[in-house]
Amino acid sequence: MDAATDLRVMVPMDEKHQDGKVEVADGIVLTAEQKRRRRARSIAIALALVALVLLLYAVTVVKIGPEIFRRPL
Amino acid sequence: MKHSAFTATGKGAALSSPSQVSGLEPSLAEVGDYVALMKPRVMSLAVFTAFVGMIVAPGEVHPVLAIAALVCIAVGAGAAGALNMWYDADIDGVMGRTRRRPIPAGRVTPGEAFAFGVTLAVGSVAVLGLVAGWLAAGLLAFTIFFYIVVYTMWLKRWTAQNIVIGGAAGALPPVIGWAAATGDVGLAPILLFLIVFFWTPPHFWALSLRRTDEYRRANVPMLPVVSGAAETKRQVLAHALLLAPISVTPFLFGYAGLLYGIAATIVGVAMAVLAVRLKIARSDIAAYEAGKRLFSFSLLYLFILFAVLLIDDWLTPWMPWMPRLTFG
Repeated sequence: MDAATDLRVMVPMDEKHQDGKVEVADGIVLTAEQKRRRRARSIAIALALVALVLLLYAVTVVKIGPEIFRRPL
Repeated sequence: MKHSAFTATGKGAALSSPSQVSGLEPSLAEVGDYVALMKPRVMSLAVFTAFVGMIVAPGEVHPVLAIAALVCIAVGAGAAGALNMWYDADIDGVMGRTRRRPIPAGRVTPGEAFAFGVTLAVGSVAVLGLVAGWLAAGLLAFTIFFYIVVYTMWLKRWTAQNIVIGGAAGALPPVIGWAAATGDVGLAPILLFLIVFFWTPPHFWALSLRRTDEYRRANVPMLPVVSGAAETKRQVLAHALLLAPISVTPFLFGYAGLLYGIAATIVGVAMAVLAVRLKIARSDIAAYEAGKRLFSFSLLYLFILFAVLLIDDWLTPWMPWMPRLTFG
């Protein structure tokens, strides 16, 4: 296993039901490094989506031009 | 050519564990790994040649539409790179040059790379269609299809002519740029296509001559592995000699001025001289160095050619005295 794989930590995760019964099951708890990487990926996806919205907005204005303002209110 | 000695060793990178299939495995990928999946250096070449194709095309493109189209072409090229890495992860893992790529290094799972590539491919084609028309979008879709299905999945593991035919994918961006600007495709973008098409074999064979053992170990039938170094050097020289006159054709057909004609002649002769030096290199060390010089110069060659084409186009209105061949 390389260093990257070592970041994965498999630990038992307790799940508490409404009746108070606690069930122990295998689960995954993210390490701090994994959480940081997930956050970075989420931010990158958000920025990409914002860029796509801005791109489509700009293209719409350029393609339609002043006509975009000539519409019944 | 001896093709039958080699068979495909993989059909795309397999998902390596049940948890990866079910999506339970936490991803280890950095944002930079996804950038690396898009092969930024290859992408930059595609964007540059598409940009030149777009600018030298007749008429004017609104800067916003030009930027949007180039972004789509860049993302489409990145999608092709990601899907190529997805399919070739088995090969990448045994080659020194590529084993640190995100999938063989274990930072990105094959499933993540596949989903990333498909999403970018569909998105880039759809947005390019809306921005610059469906001819350009269709050409982009064809380019991605050709690179992944025809080159990566079929030719690369089957024939020593893999990069000759597969080079068509890398040669299409200037045609896409032209189509995005004009809505059609004429002779001029086809000449640009031919330049990149004939440039690709000597460029990649100069690299593969120095990586023959790695390609052999990975069972990839590159020309030096199948036919030997001597035949590869002969083919490099033949393609370099073909490339030189083809590079001058935009001037000869009246699509570019004398400045481009002179530049294309000089760099074409320089490339042919380097190919001759590779051909006559006697020792392995001399051949290694000659191959390295040819590979480095080939990168510069394409950049100079397209940059001068761009400068020539910009200077034409300011230099009406500059000779330009015209027909009809």
